[in-house]
Amino acid sequence: MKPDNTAFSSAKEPGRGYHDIGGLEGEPIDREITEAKPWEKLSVVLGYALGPKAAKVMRTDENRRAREEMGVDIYNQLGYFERGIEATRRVLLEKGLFTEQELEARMAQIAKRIAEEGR
Amino acid sequence: MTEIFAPGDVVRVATADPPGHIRTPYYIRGKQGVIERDCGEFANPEELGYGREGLPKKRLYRVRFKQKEVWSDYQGDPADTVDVDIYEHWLARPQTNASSGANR
Repeated sequence: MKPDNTAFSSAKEPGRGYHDIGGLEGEPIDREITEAKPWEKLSVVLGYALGPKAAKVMRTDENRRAREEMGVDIYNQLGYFERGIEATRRVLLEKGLFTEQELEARMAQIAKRIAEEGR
Repeated sequence: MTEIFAPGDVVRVATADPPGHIRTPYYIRGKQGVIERDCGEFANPEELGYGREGLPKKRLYRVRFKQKEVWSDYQGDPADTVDVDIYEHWLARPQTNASSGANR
């Protein structure tokens, strides 16, 4: 059974975020080592490129904060790297680097290019 | 303003549950431990998380806790410990000699 983090921020445990599951009963840890997917590697590189030593757009602390604010349902649905990139999307939208419409349009453009050119 | 602790000093973690981005794990709040080392001063992540500068910097300590005192049902060696890095504003000298973690 996965740790039940859905009832936090309740009267019972008001200060416990859904990400803060240390000490709760959980599932056995899957120790199988899998190769990181290319997009997962890219998401880490993107984090550094946006960080204080490069573009100075987003700090790790802001990314963590955004992970804690996306809501428990989305958080639980996403994997580790997915949480990171979703948090990045939210921080960059907050900062007004682009709009949701611009992001959607760019993603559609890239999807079309991949479909047509294979890359 | 804030007291500077030295290795060996006994400290208690605040039981506070403030809203916002905090780095002090829930399971260690209210527990009593011993300063293992002074890690130096860092910009405050509770501020950095919101795009602010995080100044003044906060001192970070590595605090050592007995596993048996952190987990009431701990079955391992009584000498086992866990180290947690905790910022200065979460730490204070214990007010009483009451056993640690009684308020959780």
